[in-house]
Amino acid sequence: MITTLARLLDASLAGWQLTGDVREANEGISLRCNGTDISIERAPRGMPFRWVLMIEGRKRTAASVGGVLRIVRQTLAPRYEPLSLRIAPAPIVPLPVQSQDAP
Amino acid sequence: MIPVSILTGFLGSGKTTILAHLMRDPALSDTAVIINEFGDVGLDHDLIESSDETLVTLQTGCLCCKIQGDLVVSLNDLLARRAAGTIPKFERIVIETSGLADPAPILQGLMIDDGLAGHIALAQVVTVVDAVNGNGTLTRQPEARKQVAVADQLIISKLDLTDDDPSALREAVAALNPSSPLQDVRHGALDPAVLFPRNTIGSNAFNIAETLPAHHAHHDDIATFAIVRETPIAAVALSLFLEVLADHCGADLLRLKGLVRVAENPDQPAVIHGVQHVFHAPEWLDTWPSGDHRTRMVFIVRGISETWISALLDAIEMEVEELASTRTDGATHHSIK
Repeated sequence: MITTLARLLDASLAGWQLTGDVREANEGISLRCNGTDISIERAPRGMPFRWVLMIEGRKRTAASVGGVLRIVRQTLAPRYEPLSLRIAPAPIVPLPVQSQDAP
Repeated sequence: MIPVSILTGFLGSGKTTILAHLMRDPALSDTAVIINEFGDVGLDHDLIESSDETLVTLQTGCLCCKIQGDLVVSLNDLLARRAAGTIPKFERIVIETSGLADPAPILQGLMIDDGLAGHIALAQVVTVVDAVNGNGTLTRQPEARKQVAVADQLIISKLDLTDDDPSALREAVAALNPSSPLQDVRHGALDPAVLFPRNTIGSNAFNIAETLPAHHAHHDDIATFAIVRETPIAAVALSLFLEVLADHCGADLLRLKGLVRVAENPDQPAVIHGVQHVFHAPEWLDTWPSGDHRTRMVFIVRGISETWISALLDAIEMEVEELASTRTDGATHHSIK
């Protein structure tokens, strides 16, 4: 997972036209870009989030890979405006067809 | 669901000639037509044979920017009058855009309106490029390149007006959009089935099944590529993937169309459509259109790499899988939002 997330972050920096360095370090990820250091680690078990980010001494948490990406981009690209959109207001899988006799 | 096809192409590409030809075909007799003309004095609607009740002209602006709202209002009005029986019961709708229109916001407008949801479905985006001026137009006009990039079906028109070899134009068009079929048209004679294929709903997904781009296509910064997955994608992973795309790509995601094998329902492909940051609720086909049951998503993007999208899907799938196995193990639950 860490390797996969590191690869995503590396591709993300390129996509955001930022130059930086992403490395796996101590079972986490170390990211350096534009003079900003970000470390990303798995959250301890039992916490209601999955990722802990340390950004210039400040702790942030994220519940998913998407959350990590959003925090990193907000930090490194201040002009980025996250979109508060949630997908799938409709059922993501078709509802089972119910008999008309069903209550 | 009433299928809606969009006929687009740069100024002078021959859209109206093609539409006029199509509207004379009995196969399209029950078709409502919306024409967007740029400028105060419209002419195109005079060139189309259609009943007055089902022909709507939108003037004084370009459909993609100034009067997108008018399009939605017109569509809702047409549907309401059809339901009330005050106009002939049309079975399909064609929207001819102005030559300067960027199709992406138009698609977006169709997808986000609550009143239209559940009543209309995008059938095809058909883009016309003319053999006489097409090469120069594609070189000079970014709108023309976008029109080609988002098309489900590409038409090279006016081949009857030039003796020039169209192969360079074909290559330029294919470089922008290698996944969509390309058809030649002379004298505006286009088969109605091109505009409205038999399996209209999700028909552009059927194109995906047959014509995945075999390679990256780059023209300026527009790229077309396909992401293919052998194994089914969990529904929650698909939702998260689309959310992150919408969040990070915005207007640079010109179009996404795909057939997805969802793990919870693998026997029915989900057809997904996205334009910029708007994603349509998945449509479910009854069966897979071919023996190929892999997830196939075609991206038409500006400045977004295939590497990033592939890495994103990998990471989200892995995270969802990890979470699922954690739950199976009876360990602490995390919710992904």
